[in-house]
Amino acid sequence: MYQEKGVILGTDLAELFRTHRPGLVRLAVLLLGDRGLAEDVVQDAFVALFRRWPLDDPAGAGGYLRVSVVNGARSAHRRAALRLRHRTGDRDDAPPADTGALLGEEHREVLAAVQRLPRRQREVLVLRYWSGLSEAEIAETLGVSRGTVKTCASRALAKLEGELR
Amino acid sequence: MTDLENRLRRAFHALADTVDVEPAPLPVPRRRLAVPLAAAAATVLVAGTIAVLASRSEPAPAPPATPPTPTATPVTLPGFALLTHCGVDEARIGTRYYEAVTPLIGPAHSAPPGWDNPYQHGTMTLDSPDSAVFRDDRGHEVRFRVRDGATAFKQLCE
Repeated sequence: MYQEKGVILGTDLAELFRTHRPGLVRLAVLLLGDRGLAEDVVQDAFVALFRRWPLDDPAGAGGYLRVSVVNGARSAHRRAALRLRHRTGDRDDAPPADTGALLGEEHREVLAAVQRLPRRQREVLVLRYWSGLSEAEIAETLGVSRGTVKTCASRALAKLEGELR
Repeated sequence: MTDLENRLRRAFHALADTVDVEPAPLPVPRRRLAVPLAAAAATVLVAGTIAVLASRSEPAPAPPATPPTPTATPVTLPGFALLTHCGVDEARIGTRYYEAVTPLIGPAHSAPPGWDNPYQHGTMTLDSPDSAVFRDDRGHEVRFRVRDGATAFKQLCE
C-alpha cells in the first residue's frame, strides 16, 4: 500500500500530510474537545483532499484542509453533541485525565466559557485567536460573510467579557 | 488586542500545546485510486518491496504491491491498512482482490462499531493460496477469500 502511496500521491502530498496534520489535529481538538474525533476528522479531510488531487491551485491545499476540518468538526459535533460538553469523563476516547491538570485555572475557566458559546462563535474565536486568521480568511473558511464573522466575534467577546469578569 | 483577547489566545495555545500529535500513516483513498493506477503500482513493486523490507522502523510497514507467492507457509503482512470506511467487506492484497467471508457493515454502510475509520491497521496473513485473515490489536479477526480474476473492487467506497 505504501508503495502505491509513493506512486499515487508523490512526495508533495506526503510532505503536505506531515506538515499540516499536527496543526489540523490541534485545530480539531480546539473545535471538538475530543482527541479521538479530532483525529478522525483530520484523517477524513486528508482522504478528501487526496481524492481531489491534484488541486487546480495546490497552494490552496492548506485552506482546503482547514475548511474540511471545520466542516468535519461540525458533522462530528452533530453526531456526538454530548461529547463536546465535557472535556473529562470516563469514555475511552476522552482527553487524558491529566489534560486539565496541565492547564492553569485561568485557561480552564476561559476554555469552559468558550465551550458554552454557540458553535459558530466558538469557531470564529478559535480561527481568529489560535489559527490567527484574518476576518476575510475566517469568512472564507466558514463560508459566511465578513460581516457575519465580525458579528459573531463581537457577540462572543461580549459574552465572555461578562462571564470572565 | 484587549486583555480578554490575550487570555483567549493564551488559553487556546495552552490547550493546543497539550495535544501531542504522533506521526501517522498517510491515509489513501485506496479504492478509487487503485483501479486506474494498479499497473503503475505494479511497476514499482520491486523498489517498493525493497524499501519496505529495508525500513522496518517505519511506523506501518506495508504489504508488497503484488501478492507473495502462495506457499504452504503463511505470509504475514504487518501494518496492513484495511479500508473500513464503507464496512469491512473487501481488501486488496498486492494485485489480488479479496472479499470478506462474513462482511461487517456498520450503520449507514460505514465502519462497524469498534473499528477505526477509514482504516483499521492490523496484520493480514495469507494462510493459503486463496484466503487471508486480518487481525488487529483489538481482537478483530476477519477472513477473506480471493476473488479469482477480479481486477477491481466490487464497489467503490466514496
